[in-house]
Amino acid sequence: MRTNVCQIALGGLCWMGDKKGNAVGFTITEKILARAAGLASVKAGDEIMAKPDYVLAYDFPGYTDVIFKQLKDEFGIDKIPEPDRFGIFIDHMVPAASPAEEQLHMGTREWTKVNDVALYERKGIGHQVASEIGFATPGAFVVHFDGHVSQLGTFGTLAMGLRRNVLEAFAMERVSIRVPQTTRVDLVGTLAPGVMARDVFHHIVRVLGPASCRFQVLEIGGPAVADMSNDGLQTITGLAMFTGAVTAIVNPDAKRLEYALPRARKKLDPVCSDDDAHYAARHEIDLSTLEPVIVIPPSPANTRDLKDYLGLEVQTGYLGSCASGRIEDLRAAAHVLKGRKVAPGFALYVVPTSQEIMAAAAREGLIETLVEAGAFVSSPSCDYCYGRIATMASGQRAVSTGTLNVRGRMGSPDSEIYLCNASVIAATAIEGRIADPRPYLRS
Amino acid sequence: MALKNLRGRVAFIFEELDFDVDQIVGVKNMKTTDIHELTKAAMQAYDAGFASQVKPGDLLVGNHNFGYGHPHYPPMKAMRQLGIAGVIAESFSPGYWRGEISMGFPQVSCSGILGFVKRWDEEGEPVLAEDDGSIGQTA
Repeated sequence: MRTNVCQIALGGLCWMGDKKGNAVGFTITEKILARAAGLASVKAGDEIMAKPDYVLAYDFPGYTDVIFKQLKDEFGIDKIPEPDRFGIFIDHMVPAASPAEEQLHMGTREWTKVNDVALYERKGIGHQVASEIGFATPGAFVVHFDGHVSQLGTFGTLAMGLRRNVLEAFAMERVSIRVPQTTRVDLVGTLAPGVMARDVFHHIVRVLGPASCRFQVLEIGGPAVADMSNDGLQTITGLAMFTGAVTAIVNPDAKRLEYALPRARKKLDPVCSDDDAHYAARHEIDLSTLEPVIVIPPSPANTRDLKDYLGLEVQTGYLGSCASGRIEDLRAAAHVLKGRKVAPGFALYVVPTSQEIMAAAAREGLIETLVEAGAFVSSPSCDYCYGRIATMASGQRAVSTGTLNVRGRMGSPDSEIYLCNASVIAATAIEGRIADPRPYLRS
Repeated sequence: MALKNLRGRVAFIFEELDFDVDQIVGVKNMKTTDIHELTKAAMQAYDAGFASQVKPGDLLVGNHNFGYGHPHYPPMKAMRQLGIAGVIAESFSPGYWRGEISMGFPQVSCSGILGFVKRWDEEGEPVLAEDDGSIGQTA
């Protein structure tokens, strides 16, 4: 009898049905897209028209303002149908620093009001808030223009960034899509202290390559997943684009469903990949062999061993973003910084990913620990990640848990960004030089 | 409507793997909205005389995973303004590919293209593109 990953994980909670007669099973991606397309089944390579369960966006010049205008002027849509499917976030340019920025936000508020669409303003970075408020519905198909929405995949949600093509999802009921192939990465073993999900992702890029999953879905599985936090999996799935993947997804286990089902905005049956699903490639990564890594500028493809960059002088540290900045990251930084001080002159910016996370961190005393150590703790905003604030000048260097380290991402094109995990940021803040967090964890 | 055949001169070959297209205009010019300023900035790091040599209908050629990183729209806006009619690459990074396709800018993956053409080539034996999954991919 056929079994599947989900049945094992959930003890039958997620029943897949009998598929007698099928030579090969289906991936979670194929199952979600089949339902979204209203078809009995689809296979990788099929061209389909799929109806997204949710259409998400944050307001940003050149995206939402243009889309809102195009809907009216080019498509004659004064009010979108099924507004419950939509969610708009104001998380960039928060708080506004110019009349033009506030004008953009005003336009967004007006559009959401006229269209009866839910607006989430100053609640945190939208991709995280989306999980908190139930857009990460297991089994749902979600589109956005921004690819970091892939992190909803943690909860068995298929979430893709379509860039400007998201216009199709605003103007039409369905989007045209080719069902992607899937590359499966099985995680086994346990992470050593000082090694975090961030290291796991950059290790995946290192060993599989930055083009390894081009136009595919990166499916994360294996026995180690059960022990991983939602935070850690959101980090890994949220960065999937740097493997070339169109998104990442996890077969939702009990821990994921416990979080996601009570919040889900829609009642859907969670689905999981069959154990005989076809994968374009399958890899296994033993977490117990990993060490902290660092991703050197100017490309997210540049994963290196942290130990080879220790001692490099750094002026700024950024702990935050949609990729990192969750409670697990804040705990890791606070653990290293407790009772210690940030080096004189070093700017450590700590930005919890959402208001919900910030409140939780305050309740745990993490904010107090970080502030007393000398961190500048800010309310949630995307703005640190792309250099709109805390902007670096020429010649400066940052360690960052932001999404990206391309040239000029956090300020001057002649500044540099080294990506690493939250505890490395904390250790580096203490020393003013790139540092290994592990000695601080022992003491 | 089917896409008409792309035929044009090779205006430039980006041989770098995982090429970050933002480098075409330079990160410091990414917020420039004036299209003429953008075209002046384009290709300065690669060939300062590019704008004076390129002609409408010319094509760009790229290596594997062309468009990797965090691609913005201004570089290819500048290229279109200069007359570039499309990009042919060994393969594309999906985010870049989808973004430019949604701008109506032809992006064709063609395995082996780097071996078939030299800069300024105008004519050559037609080669068949191998479907690596990105052809016809819209999402």
